[in-house]
Amino acid sequence: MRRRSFIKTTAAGIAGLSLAPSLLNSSQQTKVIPNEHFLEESDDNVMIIIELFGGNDGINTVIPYAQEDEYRKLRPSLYIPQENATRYGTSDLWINSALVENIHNNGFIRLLDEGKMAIVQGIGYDSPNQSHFRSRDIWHSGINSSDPNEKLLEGWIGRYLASKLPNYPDGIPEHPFAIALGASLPLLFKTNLGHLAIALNSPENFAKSGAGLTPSVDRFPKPVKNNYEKEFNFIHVIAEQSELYSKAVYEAYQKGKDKIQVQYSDGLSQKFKLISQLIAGGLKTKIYYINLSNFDSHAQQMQADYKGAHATLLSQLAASVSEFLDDAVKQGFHRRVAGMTISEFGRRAYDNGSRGTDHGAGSMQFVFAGSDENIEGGYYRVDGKPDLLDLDQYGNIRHDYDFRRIYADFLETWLGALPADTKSVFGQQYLPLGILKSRMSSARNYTNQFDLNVYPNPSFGNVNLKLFIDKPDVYEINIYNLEGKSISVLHRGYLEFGQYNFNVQIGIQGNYFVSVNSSFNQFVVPLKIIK
Amino acid sequence: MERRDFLTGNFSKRANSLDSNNNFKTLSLDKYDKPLDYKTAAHLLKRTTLGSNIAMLKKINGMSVDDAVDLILGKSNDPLNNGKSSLNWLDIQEEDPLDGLPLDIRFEIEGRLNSRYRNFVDWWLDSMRKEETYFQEKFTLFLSTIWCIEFNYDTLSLIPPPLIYQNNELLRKYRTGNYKDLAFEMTLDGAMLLYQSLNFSTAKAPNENYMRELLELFTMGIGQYSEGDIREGARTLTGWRTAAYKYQPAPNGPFKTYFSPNNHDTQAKQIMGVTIQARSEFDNSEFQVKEQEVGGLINILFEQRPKQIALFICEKIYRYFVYSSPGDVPSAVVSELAEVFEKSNFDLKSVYKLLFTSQHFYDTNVVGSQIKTPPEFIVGLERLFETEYKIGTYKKSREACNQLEMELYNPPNVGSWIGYRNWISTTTYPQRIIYAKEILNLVTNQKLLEIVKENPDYISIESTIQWLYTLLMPVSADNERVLYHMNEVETILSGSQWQTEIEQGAPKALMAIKKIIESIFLMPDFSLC
Repeated sequence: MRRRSFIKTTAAGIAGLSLAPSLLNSSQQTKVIPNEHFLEESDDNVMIIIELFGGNDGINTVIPYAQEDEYRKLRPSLYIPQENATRYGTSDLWINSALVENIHNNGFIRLLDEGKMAIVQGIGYDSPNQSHFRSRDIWHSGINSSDPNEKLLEGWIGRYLASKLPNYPDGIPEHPFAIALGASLPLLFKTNLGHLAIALNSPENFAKSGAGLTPSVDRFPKPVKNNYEKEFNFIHVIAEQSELYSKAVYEAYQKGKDKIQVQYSDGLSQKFKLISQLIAGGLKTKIYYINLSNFDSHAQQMQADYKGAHATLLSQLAASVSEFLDDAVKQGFHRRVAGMTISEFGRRAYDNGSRGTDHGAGSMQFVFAGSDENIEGGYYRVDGKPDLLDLDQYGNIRHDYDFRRIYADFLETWLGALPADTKSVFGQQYLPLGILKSRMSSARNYTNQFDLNVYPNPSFGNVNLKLFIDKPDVYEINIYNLEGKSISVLHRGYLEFGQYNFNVQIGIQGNYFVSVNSSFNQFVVPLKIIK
Repeated sequence: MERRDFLTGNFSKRANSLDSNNNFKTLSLDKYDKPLDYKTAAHLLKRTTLGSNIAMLKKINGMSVDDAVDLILGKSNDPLNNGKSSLNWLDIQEEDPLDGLPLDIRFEIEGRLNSRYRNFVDWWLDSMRKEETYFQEKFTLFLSTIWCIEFNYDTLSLIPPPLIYQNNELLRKYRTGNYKDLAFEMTLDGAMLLYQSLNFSTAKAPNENYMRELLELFTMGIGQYSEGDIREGARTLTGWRTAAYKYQPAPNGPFKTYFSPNNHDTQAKQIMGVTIQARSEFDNSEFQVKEQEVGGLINILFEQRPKQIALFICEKIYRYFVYSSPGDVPSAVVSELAEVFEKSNFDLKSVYKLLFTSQHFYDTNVVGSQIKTPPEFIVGLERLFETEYKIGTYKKSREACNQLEMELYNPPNVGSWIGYRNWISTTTYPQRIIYAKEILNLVTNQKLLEIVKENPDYISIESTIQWLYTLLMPVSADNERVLYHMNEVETILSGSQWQTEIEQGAPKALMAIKKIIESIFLMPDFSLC
């Protein structure tokens, strides 16, 4: 077992490295350290987050014809008839045709066919907030605070990266860990250490404008004396990184420029083209973020011909992802890429009479990967959901899975984090949804099965666990509900060789998971409670 | 009497505060009783206008804060800056481009709308560049970051620019006025009706878009109202239309808001426990509904949640004019401002006066802590150098602000620009330096010499460097920095040559001045004010 990534980022670890002079910045304060020293050497996975800001209308994205009468009744001005939607094979998955028609390689239908796409229905969180800004902060911070006055000032990715960068900004990676395509950064990457991503529009402009920006004065020593010094230091870091990273990015961009294998469309696709160039050119960035705005469709989201604002946006999304994944296959880096959409909420189940919809709650989300080896594609949902006859008190879709289950999937399966990291990022444990499949053998081994017996299963509520430990280690045994939250911790601590018995009472019927974690392994058994 | 001249430590303890250093010497809003000097005058001007210049500095240097702030804020009957002579399209209506027109005609109309919108923004930036006392523009800009309008909204739609101009006129009228009256008028503002979908709202299908933002973003913030209040409020605000397009009804004239009685929900509504009575069809007139329902609704909000509104708006004022960090707002100061705001029945001027004349406002923890917004950065340089940012005849300030992520009247969303550290990224920071250098290149030699020679001790190069810091930077240069800048010009002239060269206005002196200013641009605190 190993926890190398942690040991490496301790202060002593960095001080002990001998640095090539070429890696040293002109400033005495900042040390530039190869990315491999912060993360797994074998780990070259890349994660892409596409934000559909404004609140995507999940109901007209994945259309619930299982309850067609209800759907038609709720949406007199936004109803899409079946002949204008696209069915996946003979399944009950119907998607908006804007995701398919006139899109490279048949868009999302082809990706579903190839097993590279998962559609997750019923994503959301408890006590949904209908403010764009609060809800977006919740999605970006990964913290669902019940107190609306609690300011959410750090992002979940930022917190995770910060755990790898204890000496930031005095010790920074050679290549940026994360890039937001655009001119500014979302909350996702902000932390009390600073902004742990760079904003990038054009590598060419960046190279020209970034040169010579490293300030000739040093940062103020910590702790700073006042807010002036605090903001001075913040800008100092941005100035310094503008120069350093503009070189790194431009170098990769030059190398990757001619490797593009598909014709990218205009608009959002151009951002994916840039990501492809940077990956192909050897940039070691782990996380890319792209924003697609204008999903806040209170009015005129669809015209009489089923096209209009919402369809235009969906087409952009489908074209860019389809082109990028095809390019990735052709270039051969497809096994390294996976991504997801996020959106602060779905929209109200009933339309608002202005050919639009008001803010909703539970919705759906796309998850994709470049290779079917790394994702269990398909349609994820709880049977019978979404249920248009069981809306919440405001007329919104109810959620089944907490949104952090997908985050946990990316953290633990794709970025090599441990369950303990997930817990420190979110302040509480979430069970990964299990869509992604790890391609790394180094972090943890999901294939080893524990000698675990859960009985009876299904059960009326009285559940027994029998666990045989053959490797003494620190273990955590959890019961999770369907949402992904831990409802009961049966054990946390060191276990010697031997057999252990546990008993737990679960009062509410439903689907649960029993999870056993050691530092090198996680094993999950589904459990059904009937009453 | 000193109410609080020491650090009380009474800050709201907020989760995830970016940094817990609240090193204020004073949280007191008692009067700052020293006369203004160049440093404090520059601070006051940078925070209340789009940037200081030498003429203004000289004008308020030596004044009491009371007099200076009165001069800046002006009187309520001062005439308003207006664009009627430069914008020749203010009453031209176009057809609705999305109303099934052939594509070529639609694009033609959209082209005109786009060029008028740009024309308007150029005019506004010009106004910011040129204005002298009393100052209107920054206060107007502040209100437009609360009551946001996106020219290009809902993916495909454009707000007709005459409505944008009217919206700006309304904000300008209330820039230091009564916030409650502004809320009433803004609710029926034409641009707002389109942008926040009230224009589509009917009795059968009340649209919640505006009502939610009115509560959440424009008055009291989340947590102060229920979802029910939003639904009932949306019903209250049904039936209002704007005469935005040609060949559409315009009972009150083009670009005027009017009432469509058939689309108004006449049933009773209940908001925050207060009832708005049902009305008969005979009482369903524009005048009655405007007074009793729109006015009634605004009254309910300000009567039922006065403290919450006062706190919410005063926090915005604090972050805009004092320090933007969301995690570092001193609640003691904001509470005191809010008390005054509420007592004055939501008069903005009372809050501004108290804040800008307070000891707290001149605290060392406040001076230099604010990250310049794009117009403060661009227009600020134009103002200081008395130069227009123009390449040939092309006005470049608008494009520059856009690239720095602040497109006036086109924020990213109704939540406005996030501001604070969002202004500075690895994309926008390098761009700032390029723009600053371009503006400097437009300044004539004559002007540069004038600026330097305004300093009585200009024959000293050290003093010149300090003078340039007074004009360009939030703090004075320490020895290390003075030496650094002197070193930088060493290749051009030596310290002993400076005196003769500058007295003659020789090319070497000008090169040295430009070199010093350019190296100041590369200091991180050049983006602070």
